[in-house]
Amino acid sequence: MLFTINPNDGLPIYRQIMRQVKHAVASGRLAPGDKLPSQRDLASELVVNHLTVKKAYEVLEAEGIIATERGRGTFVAAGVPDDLRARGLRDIKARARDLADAAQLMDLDFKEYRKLTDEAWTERRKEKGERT
Amino acid sequence: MNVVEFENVTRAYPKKVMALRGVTLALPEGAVCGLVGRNGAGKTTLLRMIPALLHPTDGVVRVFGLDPWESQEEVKRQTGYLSENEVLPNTVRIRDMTDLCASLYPNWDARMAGDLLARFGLEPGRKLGALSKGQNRQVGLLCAVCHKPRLLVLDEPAGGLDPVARREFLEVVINLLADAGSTVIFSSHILSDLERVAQRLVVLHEGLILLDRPVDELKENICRVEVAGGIPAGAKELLSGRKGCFHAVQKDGALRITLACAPDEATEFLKRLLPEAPDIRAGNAVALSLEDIFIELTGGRL
Repeated sequence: MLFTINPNDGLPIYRQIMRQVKHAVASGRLAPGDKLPSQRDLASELVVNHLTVKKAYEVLEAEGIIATERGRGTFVAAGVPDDLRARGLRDIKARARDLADAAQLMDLDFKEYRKLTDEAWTERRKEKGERT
Repeated sequence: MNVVEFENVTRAYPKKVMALRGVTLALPEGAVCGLVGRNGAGKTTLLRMIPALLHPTDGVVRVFGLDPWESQEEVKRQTGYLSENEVLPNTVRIRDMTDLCASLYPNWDARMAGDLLARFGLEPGRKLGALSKGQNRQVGLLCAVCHKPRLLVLDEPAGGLDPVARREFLEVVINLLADAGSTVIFSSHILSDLERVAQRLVVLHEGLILLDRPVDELKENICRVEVAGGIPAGAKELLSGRKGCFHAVQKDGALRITLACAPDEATEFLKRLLPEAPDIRAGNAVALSLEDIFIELTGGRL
């Protein structure tokens, strides 16, 4: 995944890194077992002090979102914590609302709308199934 | 042991101008400290005392536990120093500079120097006088970091450089930190750059330390609040100058205040200062960037 930071943001940089990891985990872009960049690599990618990345990883680890395995690296922990899942659901709900708005704006009826969402569901499932 | 120590340091210039009026500061091993302050605040004066370029008028300066003037060789051998105002001799070639550094510093890393020259696109045979301002600064940086100094002192090192050169500069410093764990003190007016590197922020104001705090803690404990309705009479006057309130402005029935608390604690914090204050809605308390914080801290004081 690609990280970005913005020093003009009111959030400290370590919190910006944490927010992005949490968001990616909540939305499923990062799945349990996925590897995160090493502290050193992420620090040079973002051009920030490596201790800042270390701090972000340490807090994420304490919150149970990631886990470090000595010599192997840092991974997304198994079992997404409940509050993150709730946040993910809220996010999906908001997007579903946007999708419904867009469909209604185009005057689709419910059947047409369902056809599109069902197709997308099956398609994505199949693509993922074939990849693994 | 602290790598750098200032104890009640003062410095007077002719005509009784006091550049420093009693500064006490300690940097433990591995600390990365950003030094900010308005022009004339005393930053350069402070930093020049570390590599024995300037004597304090009073007080004590210690570097690696030593007096930098009495132990110049030992201090300078482990210190990298780069300043915006540093003038390198025009007729000398880049190669002569790196050769000189290699002979001065036992830890000089010739490979690192070669890598940086290539990265910056600098021809070793060129004379310093023929280089641009940015290239000159790159040579200065190279000389300051390639002996993997235990202490790195940077005085407005990226002043006048373009954004790409500044970013390259930061990358070099950040890599040095990760490799060598150096202690760094770094002055800059570009707070967004400083935040990428520094963990601790020291604000110097009129020769005194106004604030010395971890950057994260500072950012997490200050917010700007807008109150649109239900403002008690005389709120601005009641809040102005109170501890915990940096700034209060009232205009067209709205009150804008800067408080020393996290955004989600704004209601509670404000009620402690002004019990009849209304509740603050979540969106009306926002965290500030370091630059805004700096302006809040020093801007209104002149």
